[in-house]
Amino acid sequence: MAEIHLDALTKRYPTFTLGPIDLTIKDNEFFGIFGPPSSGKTSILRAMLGLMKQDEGRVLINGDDASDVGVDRRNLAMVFQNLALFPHMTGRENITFPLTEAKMPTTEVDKRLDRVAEVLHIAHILHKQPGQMSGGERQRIALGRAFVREPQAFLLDEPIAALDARLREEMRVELKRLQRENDHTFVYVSHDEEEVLSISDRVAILLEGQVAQVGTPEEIYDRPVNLDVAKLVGSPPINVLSGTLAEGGTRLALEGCDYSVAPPAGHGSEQTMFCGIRPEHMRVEDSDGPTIKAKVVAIEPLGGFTIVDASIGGQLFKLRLPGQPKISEDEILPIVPDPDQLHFFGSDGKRV
Amino acid sequence: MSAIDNDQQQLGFWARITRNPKALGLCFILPTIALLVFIVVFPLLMQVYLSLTWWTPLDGVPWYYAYEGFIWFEQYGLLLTDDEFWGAIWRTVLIMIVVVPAEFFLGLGLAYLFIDRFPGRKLFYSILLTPMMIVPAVVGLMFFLLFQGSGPVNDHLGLPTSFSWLADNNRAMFAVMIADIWQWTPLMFLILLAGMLGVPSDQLLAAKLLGGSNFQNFCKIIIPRMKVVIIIAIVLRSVECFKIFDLIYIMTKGGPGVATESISVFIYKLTFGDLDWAYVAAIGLTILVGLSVLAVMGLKYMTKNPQGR
Amino acid sequence: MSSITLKSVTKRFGDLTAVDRLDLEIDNGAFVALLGPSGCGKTTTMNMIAGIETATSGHILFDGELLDGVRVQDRNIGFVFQNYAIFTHLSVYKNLAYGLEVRKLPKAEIEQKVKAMAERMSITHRLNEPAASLSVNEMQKLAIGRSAVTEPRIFLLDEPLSNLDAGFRAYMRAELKVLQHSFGQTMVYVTHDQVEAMSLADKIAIIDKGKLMQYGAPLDVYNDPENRFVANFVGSPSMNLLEGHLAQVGNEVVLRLAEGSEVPLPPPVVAAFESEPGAKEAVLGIRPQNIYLGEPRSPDDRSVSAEVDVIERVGPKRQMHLRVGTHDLRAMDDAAEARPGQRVAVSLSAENCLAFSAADGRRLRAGREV
Repeated sequence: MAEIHLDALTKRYPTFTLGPIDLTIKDNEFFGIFGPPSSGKTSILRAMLGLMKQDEGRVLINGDDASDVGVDRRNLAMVFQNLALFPHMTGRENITFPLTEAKMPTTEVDKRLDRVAEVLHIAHILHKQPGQMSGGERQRIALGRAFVREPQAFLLDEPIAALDARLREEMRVELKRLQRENDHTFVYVSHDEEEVLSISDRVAILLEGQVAQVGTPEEIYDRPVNLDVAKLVGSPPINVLSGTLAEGGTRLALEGCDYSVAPPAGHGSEQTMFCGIRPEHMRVEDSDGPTIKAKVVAIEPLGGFTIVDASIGGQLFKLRLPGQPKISEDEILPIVPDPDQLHFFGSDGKRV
Repeated sequence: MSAIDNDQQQLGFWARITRNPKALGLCFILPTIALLVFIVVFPLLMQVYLSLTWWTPLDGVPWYYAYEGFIWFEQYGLLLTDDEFWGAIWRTVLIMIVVVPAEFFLGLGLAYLFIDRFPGRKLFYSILLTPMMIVPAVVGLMFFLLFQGSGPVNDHLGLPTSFSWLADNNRAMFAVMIADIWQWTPLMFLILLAGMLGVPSDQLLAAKLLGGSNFQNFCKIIIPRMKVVIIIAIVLRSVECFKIFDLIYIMTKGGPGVATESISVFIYKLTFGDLDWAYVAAIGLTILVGLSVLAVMGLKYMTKNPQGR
Repeated sequence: MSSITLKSVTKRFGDLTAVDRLDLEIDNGAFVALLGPSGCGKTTTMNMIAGIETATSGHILFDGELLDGVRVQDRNIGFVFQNYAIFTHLSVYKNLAYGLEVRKLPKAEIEQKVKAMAERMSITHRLNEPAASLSVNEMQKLAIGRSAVTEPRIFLLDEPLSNLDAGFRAYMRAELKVLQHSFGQTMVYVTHDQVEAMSLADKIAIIDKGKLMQYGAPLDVYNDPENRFVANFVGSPSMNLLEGHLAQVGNEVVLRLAEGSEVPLPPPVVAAFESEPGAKEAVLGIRPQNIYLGEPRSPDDRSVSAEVDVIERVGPKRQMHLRVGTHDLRAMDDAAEARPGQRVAVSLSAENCLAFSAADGRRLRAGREV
């Protein structure tokens, strides 16, 4: 129902500058914004909502400049991390609050409440007060209060960060389903990469107040534009080895181990490069060919897969092995990276 | 569907003010400032003005003609050598340095008893707070009756009716102090309890788990964390105590002689006995400046030692 | 170092039974995680071990020695709070020294121990700064160091990683494990995050509604859950649990779901269901990893037709949400073959299907009559 466009948005703080940020959030899109703590994620939402006035640049909503439009007239709904429910009101009163405040006729209020209750499956908790609800129920009431206004877009600021791990997994699927079934525009902010990448259609990676990359979760995970983005997404994080070009630039000898990989063509004239290998793109191989010798330091069996901390030339490496392999500590594993899944970065950190 | 329209120019005067945070803020505080000027600034200037004259209402000249008797700082000179004034100051300070620490330690002890829950806590709490709620004049009357020669105090202590509390120089002072401690310990208790409850309970628990005894934890965790509250409580009670009047006026009228005459009683007598209002204005200003210096020193100390949260 | 024994420990708050006849044996030097959803009684259990709360009934023993009536101060327990409970009015040094100062140790000894611990926790450079100025990550280290410096008998940690950001949490997880090895202390760790519990602990105690659900090594709990709750709680993504009626269709036994769609059951799991004679309702459990796209690869596997609803992708994991009738079935699609909206056939791996009783959630095993 709405397209939000940020045009060179800039906000200066004494020790930190946000932007300039150019972003377009398309109609009916689930757009994720991800970055480490204090990278400016929430400030972007606040600028969209109108809670924060930017120093430069514009916020455009459906093509109209919204810079001088007050919070109350932008018709955007925001769900906060702490939910900000009214503790003395029932679920029903919490949800209908924005409508009764706007003096909407009772029949219309009831109609909208029924619809929201059906979509969110909350009919059975409408009579409870927030104090009597579980975390997930409170969450749904907060969403309901945003939905009932039928806003142009929803801005969600870490809306499920306060929930239990298991509940978080369930809620995020639910959010995705809601968004898709009702064709809403969602802008979703979180510092949990798994959460953002799993449900967003497109994601913006924010680093130190700048947009480092915008793309689908696949693009960001498979083709990070630089080393910082590569390190930021993926859990356990990507392993990075530096390497020296050898044999006329056709091989990259990795530091700390007796192993070389083929660098991409057209890598320029650099002598050293970084090679990033995701933990899941290494496998244990018992062949006579060249392998990387990794000494097992610790094993984290997680059931469906196993994370192995291994030391390669003194550097700690994370391997993600499928299933429950039989490995013991201090064992030397011969490992081979998947040659098609390597990431190369120049000495300036840019993807090659 | 666009809910956005740029109609900023067509807004009326009030709408423009309400959209400007600075103008709106000024609108909110303006009435208060006007009121403050009327009730604080104006009387203060009037007092300064009068204290520089020898005006008294007995002359039949309106106060605004007082400049006819303008004598610069002569009243302040008189003050410096006035033994009655210094006597009253000394007695007030004496009451303060006895009563405030006594109230502080009693209040602190009581507050410590009340941080844990126990059956009947709320009831005891209400009972403890009642003295504070009673009108000071009534408290004065109560203690006046208690300390009569044939009153309950002498009865219980088995003293003869000829043993007089309020007619003896030292004992009258003692009686007044007891009455003040009885009335104002609850306030100290209330403030200190609030401060004590503000000490994060998990930190106290952590200190316990680290092996600290209750006394050690009290000295090393609770007291340091309450520093600001303690300063506020002591400054507040000291300033209040300096102005002690009703209790003394009702129990002893400042007597016997001037044995219990506090500065407030002294000023009262000057005002309504001698009608020497210019002199009273000078005394009032001197005390105001003195107390302000004390309070500012206390606040300075607080800001110099900012407390981590 | 101590072993901890909980004997039928019960805690009631008014009408609410927070912990219900809990028996637990924690070995000397073991790292045990108490795992459960919020409000399950795991924190209450830990508080009772610490002595912060007293059990309504039952006993707690350290090294076989009864602890009833022993004050918190005298139990010598290292406790790391969820929000760390750092003394923010003191310096980092004074925080570390607190447990030693109250024991009235000589100054020189305190200084030496504090310095060694600060070194161990790599916060030496901040020793003289106010503790309030530390970052969350440093506070975490300080909280652990402050408890460790007094060399407690046991270490209790109350969700110590939940306030950290995701990246640092993974790092701290590894660090904690190293610490536990080097201290060699008995550690009890409370968490609601099963990934933390699985990766850190030697043994996991799963608690729900105050009752112990299962106690065992992480992989045993994962591979061989004793009941439906454990099966659902442990493992990410969580196990599929399908509820329905058992019905005979031709030679096959199927699970008929509420709205009528049918899931054919592999023979081993049918045998397991038969161990509960006469039961009509049944719950089938299968992990998403054990459902694969396409026709059965082994004779016992069974396949079912489903519609792809949502595909979630997180790095190496591609999780499909399939619809069987109106039921959600999660499956992994690591090869990226499916598209949303597509109809696909998926097969259930027979050896990984688990059977649970619909009546009480108990795990059913073949050849064991009940």
